[in-house]
Amino acid sequence: MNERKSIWIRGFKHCILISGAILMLFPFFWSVSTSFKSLREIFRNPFSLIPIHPTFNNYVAIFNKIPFARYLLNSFIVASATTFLQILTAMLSAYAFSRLNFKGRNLIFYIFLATMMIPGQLLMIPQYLIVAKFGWINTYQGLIVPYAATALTTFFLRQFFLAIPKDLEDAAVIDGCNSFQVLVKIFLPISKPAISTIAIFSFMWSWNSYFWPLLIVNVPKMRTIQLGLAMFRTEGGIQWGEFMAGTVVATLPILIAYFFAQKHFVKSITLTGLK
Amino acid sequence: MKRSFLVLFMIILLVTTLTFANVTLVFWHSMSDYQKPALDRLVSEFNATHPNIHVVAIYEGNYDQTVTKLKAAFLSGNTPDVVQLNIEHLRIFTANHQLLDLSKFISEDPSVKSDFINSFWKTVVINGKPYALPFNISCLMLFYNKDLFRKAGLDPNKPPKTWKEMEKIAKKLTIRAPNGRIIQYGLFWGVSGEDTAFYQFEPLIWQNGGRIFNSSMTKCLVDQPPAVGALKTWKSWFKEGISPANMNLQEGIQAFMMGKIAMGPMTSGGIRYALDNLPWDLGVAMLPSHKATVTTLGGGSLAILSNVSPKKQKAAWEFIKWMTNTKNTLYWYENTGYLPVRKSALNSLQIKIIWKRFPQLKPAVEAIPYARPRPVNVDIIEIRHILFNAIEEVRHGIKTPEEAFKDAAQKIDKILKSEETK
Amino acid sequence: MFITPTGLIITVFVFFPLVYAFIMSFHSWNMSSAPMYVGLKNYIMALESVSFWNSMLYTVYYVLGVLPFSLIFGLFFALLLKDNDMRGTSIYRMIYFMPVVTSPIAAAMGFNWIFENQMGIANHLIEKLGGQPVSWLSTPTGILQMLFNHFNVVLPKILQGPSLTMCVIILLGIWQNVGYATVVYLAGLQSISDTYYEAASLDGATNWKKFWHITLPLLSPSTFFLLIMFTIASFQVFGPIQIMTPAGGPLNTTSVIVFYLYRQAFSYYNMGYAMAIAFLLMGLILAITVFQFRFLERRVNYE
Repeated sequence: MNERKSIWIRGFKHCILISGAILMLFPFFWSVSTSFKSLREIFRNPFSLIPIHPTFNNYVAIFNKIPFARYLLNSFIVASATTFLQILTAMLSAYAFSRLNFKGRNLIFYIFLATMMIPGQLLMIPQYLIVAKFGWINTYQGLIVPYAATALTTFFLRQFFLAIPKDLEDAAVIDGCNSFQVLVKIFLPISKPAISTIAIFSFMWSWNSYFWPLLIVNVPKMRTIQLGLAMFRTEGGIQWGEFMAGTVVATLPILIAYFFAQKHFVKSITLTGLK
Repeated sequence: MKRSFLVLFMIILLVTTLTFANVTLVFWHSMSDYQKPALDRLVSEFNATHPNIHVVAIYEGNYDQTVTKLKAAFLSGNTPDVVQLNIEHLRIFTANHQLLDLSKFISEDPSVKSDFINSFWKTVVINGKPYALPFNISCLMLFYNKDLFRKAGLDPNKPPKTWKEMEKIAKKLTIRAPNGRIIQYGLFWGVSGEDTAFYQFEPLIWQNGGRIFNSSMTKCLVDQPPAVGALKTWKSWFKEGISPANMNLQEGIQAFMMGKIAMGPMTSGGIRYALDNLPWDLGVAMLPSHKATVTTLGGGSLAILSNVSPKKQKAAWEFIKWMTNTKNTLYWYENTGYLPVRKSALNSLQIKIIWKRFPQLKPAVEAIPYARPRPVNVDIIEIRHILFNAIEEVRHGIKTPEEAFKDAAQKIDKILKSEETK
Repeated sequence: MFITPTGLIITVFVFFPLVYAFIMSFHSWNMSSAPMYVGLKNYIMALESVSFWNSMLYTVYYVLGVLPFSLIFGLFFALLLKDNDMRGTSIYRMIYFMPVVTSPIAAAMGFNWIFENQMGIANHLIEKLGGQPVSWLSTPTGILQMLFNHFNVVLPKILQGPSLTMCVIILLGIWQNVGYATVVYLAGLQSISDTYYEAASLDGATNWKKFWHITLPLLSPSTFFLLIMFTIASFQVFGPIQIMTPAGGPLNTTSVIVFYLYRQAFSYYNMGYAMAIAFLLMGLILAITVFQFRFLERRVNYE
């Protein structure tokens, strides 16, 4: 009896979950479907769920019109470098905030935290001027360095470090390790899940960022994928097919990365959510 | 091995620098999508025929975005050499002496100035000095769907000549489904709210005998009866159901392209794009007139920045002059719909050939004598947004035409006043 | 020593710009001419401006629209997924999380296409079901006002609710947040020990009571975390608005505070004014976050 009931309940749950999944997936599906439709089909028959005469023309057109490959490469370089640097800086500063005692530690930490609340647009013009002073307009440095360290990553890693038992490092210290060695030998291996979280989120964030590149990049060869995508939004009529093809191209890499990393994702969000 | 590579590389570098560009010009423009290929073709032809000059054309977003980029570039010193600026944005930069006064070049080349169409030339002259050459000038035209005209039993070669006629025709072109829902609208006088905000509304005020500003640009006149009257008429098109009330411009253009709207004002710069992409027969006509016959003159110009070296200035002048010469302005006209800027082009034989090929391009040229430049001011972008918001408030029934334009005029007067004190 | 890299970068690219922006907020500056000191004028102008307060209102609408629904749906799906024996949990979780990683620009374009007036599939479905197509992206009327229209009651502006267009943008916000909330809640649920429930069952508690007295309180750390994260992010929403309604929406009803700020700065070049607005916004976010920490964290039940 109970067994039967639970099967029914489970079936019901699946129904709800599947409808939820359909809602979540629909925008993706619809973008992909539209991207394979010709302009004519979009006009004549915009609602066929699957293109009747699928065409690659939209993809060919966007790659011809805009150097998408180059933009993807730029995004990839910028996002990877930003991610790497964010991990590096966060490791160091999180270690300092969680283990080292120095004057004003907590005050500095809270000031760091407060920077999370600053609207990004506020800082852009002064940041732009600084980057210009360094001669970094239209360069990878300009895109990467201002975001090489953030309060959020530091905060997150600090919380993780705080949970690491002290005994571990005590043993290492007795063995004659200095702080830096402790960090590399003890903390680094333990905090792999936390680091992969940061990696994933920094990469995603950097890949999706738009306004900073918009401001400091003036030459086509330095543009990132999001800038390329936004270029489709011109006045006049929108070429929906090409528009959606661009969206798919810009989204696909991050989704692929997500599929590969999704186990870490879940594990690591488990960590963030509980702190 | 490595060494020989290096030597080879050096030789190649040397040869390239010697044979090719000794001047490289960075050229920022706002031509996206369909105009871009035509522009790129022009630039590469220039590069091919001018071995000493190499122009790099870069798309930097729409006109407004280009202003932002250029302002930012001046802060950092990363400015381009030549820039395509909307004629209405020139003042933003001349106010701070950031554009090169072209008087010197013009005096050396007097034939250039006299060949530009007078009304176009005026748009680039500020305080008596020319700061740019008119390049892509357009005027607002009435686009209409000839197929829908035929279906409604109307003569597709007789577009409306007056507001009254337009209303009458629009009524005939508005079709209801049996359930009372309108499935085709006769007219959509959409007004843009972004880059060139308020563009499509200006001729309505002029046609109604009104003005938007006084001649010294110190007072906004939209609270006067002619402007308010134009707004009332515009509103009535929505009220009477010949225009879709709940569409923004982008949706309106979309619906027009799909053949669900029969008429609407569009820039002549889009004629070629429309001809190439619309699956139906396009008609282009002068805007219908009311008390006056007038349309809006808008578009862009090519300017040189004041901070470039004299050597580059010369090259840049060569470039912008070439881009606007008779042959190229005709090429540009045929491939986009932007107007030829030279008198010699208007009188040429080629233009007649172009008209044979694309008859829809002809009415735009015929509209030139009636085209009036848009009012300009350093704060024009903000002012236009205020005007756009005012007509939106009327369209959505929040304010009466009188209230909306009175409030807008007050706000704008405040901005104009604050400029005087600056 | 260890904080030098982070400290250096944050000092150069955050604190220094912050000070600079703060000084600029007392100036009038159009990016080209020399800045002119104007004292508190920018702040006073903002506080007196109707557009500023409207933007604040629309921002609050957005936050109040996105926050509760993201949390509720997140919790709802997490509860459904909690079943350890059920198959496919990880697949669902993966699917629900996909919108989170999508770029807001791309997501906004997708939604724009779905809710397009003529060819959008949303309107197509409505027509199929016999309804009137809706102008999703150009209707300025507040949704609460739309309800009250049936009774011919005109609500005061503040009660009219977000415009239909804003609702589409809110929907997009929820779509991008739910997956995140689901995963966080799921993690929270899995960390609740079964012994609590067993004990409660022995006392004869109903499922509802268990949810109310065990699950919800023990999930409060997750809720608190999500609340903080979503609040900070929602107050700064911008990208989707810029893409879906580049002119600020019908009657500017999607012109949230950051959009307003952006326009002032990068369309009108009122830099000083824009920076003053940014500081007002920052003050607001700071105040709300401090409030959340002081008053809500007390109620959070850390095991």
